[in-house]
Amino acid sequence: MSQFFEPFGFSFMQDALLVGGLVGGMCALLSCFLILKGWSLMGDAISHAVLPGIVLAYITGIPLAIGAFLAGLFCATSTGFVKRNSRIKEDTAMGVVFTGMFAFGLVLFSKTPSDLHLDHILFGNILGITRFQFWQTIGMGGAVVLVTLLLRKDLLLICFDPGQARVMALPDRFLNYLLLGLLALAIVVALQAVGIILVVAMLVTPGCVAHLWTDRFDRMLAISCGSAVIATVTGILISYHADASTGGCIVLVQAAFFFVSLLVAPKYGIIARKLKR
Amino acid sequence: MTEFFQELLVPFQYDYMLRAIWVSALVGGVCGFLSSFVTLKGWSLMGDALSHAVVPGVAIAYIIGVPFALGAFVAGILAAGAMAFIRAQSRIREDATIGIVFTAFFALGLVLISLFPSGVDLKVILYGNILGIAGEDIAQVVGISVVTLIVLGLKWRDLMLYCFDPNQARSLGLRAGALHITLLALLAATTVAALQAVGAILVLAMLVTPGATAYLLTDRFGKMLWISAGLGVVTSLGGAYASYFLNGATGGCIVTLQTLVFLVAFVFAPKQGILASRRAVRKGAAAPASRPVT
Repeated sequence: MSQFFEPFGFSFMQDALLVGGLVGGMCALLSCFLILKGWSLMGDAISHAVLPGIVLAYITGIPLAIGAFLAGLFCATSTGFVKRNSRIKEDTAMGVVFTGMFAFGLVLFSKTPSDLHLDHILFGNILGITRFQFWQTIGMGGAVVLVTLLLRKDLLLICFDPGQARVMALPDRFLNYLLLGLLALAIVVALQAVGIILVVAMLVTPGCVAHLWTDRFDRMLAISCGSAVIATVTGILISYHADASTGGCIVLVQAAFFFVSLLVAPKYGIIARKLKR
Repeated sequence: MTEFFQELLVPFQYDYMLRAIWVSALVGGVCGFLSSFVTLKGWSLMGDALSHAVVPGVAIAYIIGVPFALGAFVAGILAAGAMAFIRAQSRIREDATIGIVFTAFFALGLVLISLFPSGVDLKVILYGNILGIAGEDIAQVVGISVVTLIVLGLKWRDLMLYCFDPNQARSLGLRAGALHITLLALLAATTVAALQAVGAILVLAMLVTPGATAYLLTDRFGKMLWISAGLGVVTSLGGAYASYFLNGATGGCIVTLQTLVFLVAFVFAPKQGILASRRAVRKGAAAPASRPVT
């Protein structure tokens, strides 16, 4: 068993586990709001749409995270714009916008000589994280977690019951944009750990796991975060031992958690429901 | 001046460019054709999900040495089955279900590829490799396209009815379940073909953008089919051609072009464009409400 935990001895693994755990927990926190609001795939769209932002930021020399963040927000707002100003449905609008942005990013990328690695943007590079990235992740990730936790009641209300939120005179427009902003920020932070393509999993699966176990929102947040942190650490350790893709392992462990929950969760699991019948 | 024109003809001197251009056009046309149904049915995210979910199928097919289209197709169908199962068995919403299943499949693909690195090039799956497409792959693409076009050509009215109004279709004696599976299978097959041209990440654009553009341009479904298929062909031709001058990223060029065409339609479309609706508002008439196509 001690062999399994051997990687804890390496400092790059310690960094990876810390960053991975934080990113996993942060995404898990947000995932509870997203799945209740039906925004699961907004995470997918935003995570792809950051690519042109990263390349443009590289060209103009501003921090990559800022470019990514702005591109993510642009994707979300222009999806909303297309939806409001035409008869195209939201999911279609989202698909058109984010693939368009990603494609533009690819073209830009292929025209820009740079030392950016497309692989690292797509799949993350958690084992090769630099000191700067480490502190950036801790700072930004911590901020996202803090704001989300402080405003969880308000955010919950706009996800669950927007009508009620308006009646209570909550600034619902502002809160919607805040949630979008938090989502975009979380994606930017998570990019380094798991990359564009698997951020979606971290933003959807833990919330769904928790949703199967409980009806109470505070518990849901706790279960979601807990399962995500455990899954991330386990995934990183497995990837170390099996010499397999880190992002892929993390997401597969999360998917396994979901599958087990789907079977055995006390009230909403398949077995429990079969027994009740 | 003549030099300029000669420069423009250069791509046609290369066999690989010619091949890339006509294969892209074929795939673009088939995807465009199907995209009318996808937009109508609200299956955009299904296209996204399937295109990522086929990755483990491709990896396994390479590892055990069967045609990769077969592996991809099976993986796509399995993913669709898993989504249907989870949705029927739990209280998780549909969009979240799609998210869980396709990311899990994709992650499995990544892990498989990292464990068996020799056979598969992940870049080829993700971005396509239309410039390097060779005999057997072309045969697969052509085969899939022909079958898809035949099925769509024979069944488009039934499928259209099913997309618009499944209940009506059922009451007219059409078998909704069979139509659902047909459409899903066509979507999976087309995804596999389009993987070659633009790669897994951008397949979605080929399956959504032409349909969305056509939807802005016409109210009649028959016309919409022609417009979206035509747009698919033209943008793929143009994108593949332009990619010669832009140094690669063929998929990126094709999809960027499709998005530009969409933007033009979004602004200038005669009835649905934002300029037209602003004009209608200014005239005092209410903007034309979104009307279903017939």
